[in-house]
Amino acid sequence: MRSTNWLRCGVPHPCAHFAHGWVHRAKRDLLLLSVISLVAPAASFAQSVPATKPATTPSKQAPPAQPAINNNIIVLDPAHGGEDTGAHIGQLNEKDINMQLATRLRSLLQARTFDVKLLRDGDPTPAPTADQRAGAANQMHAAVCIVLHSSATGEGVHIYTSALKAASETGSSAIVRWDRAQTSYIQQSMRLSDKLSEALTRSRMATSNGRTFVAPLDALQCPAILIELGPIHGGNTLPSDTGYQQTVADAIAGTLLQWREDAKAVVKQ
Amino acid sequence: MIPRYQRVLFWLLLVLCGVMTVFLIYTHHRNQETADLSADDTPIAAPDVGAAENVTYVVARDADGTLTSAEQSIALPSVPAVRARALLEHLLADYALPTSQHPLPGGIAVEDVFLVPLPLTAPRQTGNTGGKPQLPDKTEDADELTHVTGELAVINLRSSWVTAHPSGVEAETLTVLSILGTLHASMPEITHVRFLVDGQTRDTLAGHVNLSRVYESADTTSTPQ
Repeated sequence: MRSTNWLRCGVPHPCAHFAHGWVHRAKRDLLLLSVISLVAPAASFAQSVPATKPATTPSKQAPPAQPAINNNIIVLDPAHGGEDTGAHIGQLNEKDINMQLATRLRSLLQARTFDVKLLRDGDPTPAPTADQRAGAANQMHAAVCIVLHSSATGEGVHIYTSALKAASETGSSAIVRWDRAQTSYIQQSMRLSDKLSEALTRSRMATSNGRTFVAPLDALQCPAILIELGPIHGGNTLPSDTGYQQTVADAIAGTLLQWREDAKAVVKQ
Repeated sequence: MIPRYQRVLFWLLLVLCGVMTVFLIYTHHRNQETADLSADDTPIAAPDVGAAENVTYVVARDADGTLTSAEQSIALPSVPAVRARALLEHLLADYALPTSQHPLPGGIAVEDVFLVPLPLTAPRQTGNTGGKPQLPDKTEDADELTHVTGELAVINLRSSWVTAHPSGVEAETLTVLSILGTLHASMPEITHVRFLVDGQTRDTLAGHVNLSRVYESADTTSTPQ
């Protein structure tokens, strides 16, 4: 599994780094030699024996253990950034509208004692890639990951989950492929999508649910949904409207609060 | 007292004004109709000797994000790859009409469609004519296309059309699902689809939906929520 620590910026002193590197290389060489001396005879023996049916097929191997999640951590990914402006919506770029919504949502979630992590704070250039975003999100073991988009087409709020098949449909495997990490979380993601859709409908907001093929959804190891704000009122209210954003952010924050309470209740049982 | 010739001239000019008004309204309507017709980017259908047949389109609708089936009677070529291209051209040209519920850019969208039989196999080794092509084992890392049957459709889109495609998760998802659903409904032998743009792989359609992966052709119709 690839992982990237692009969010962390620890820079050691150069001399300390050199000394540490020499010691580290010496240790690594010793370890490598001892491993080779142990493995070489075993490998030569294995080559002399004809290949036989493996003891376990991949589909019968134990499924990968899901990392322990922290019910308080919510990861928000305001999509695009830097030179990637996204769609042009009215006078604004999509990347700016996504950031506005993320900031608004962060405040509401922090008021509900959530620990909110933004995968893009500000407008860094170059913006993190989809793989870097997924790597950073997967290290946080979040309760929920939300990817935020906005659009000038359609009507209302579009909620999407990954189009990958759930792990139960494909058979479990010990190996988790980077581009299929979401398979173990598809059912939770769809449940979350349904709950949010209900909440938005209660707020008299037009919604549509679906499944899509947008990065980094497939690589996320957490219940993950993509929310895209489209225009409302026949195109008269754009996603940049603060009232519209507030209504959607309220619905999302309420849903996540309920999601956390449900998770706590399951743990108690 | 107004002389007679002036009265005649007055009535003559009045009638002329009336005639000119009617002519003006007529030309205005005619110009409007011409403008509507020029907005229709549907490619002119080539002369076809084949009989018209009913094909099923999976039509997208932006307002509620749905995909529904619709039947149309059109003449299609019999060669599978050309047939797939013509089918997609008809589908995407309909989206360019002013009345479209999922507006897309006009013009020619599909450059070529290539059909590749599945499973993909390694080329035969020279000098070993009797041997079977070597297939990789079915392991976790093996390419899925080496172990499935059916046909892979490689759709080569024009960059001019892709560049003009509206940017948005819903708009791009609906376009891809509409293409997959239409191919599945009309040419079920196509099981997998891959997209190229001007012969090259491209990361996304218009900034969102992944265009570099292999898609499974499937029934993508949906119902309003």
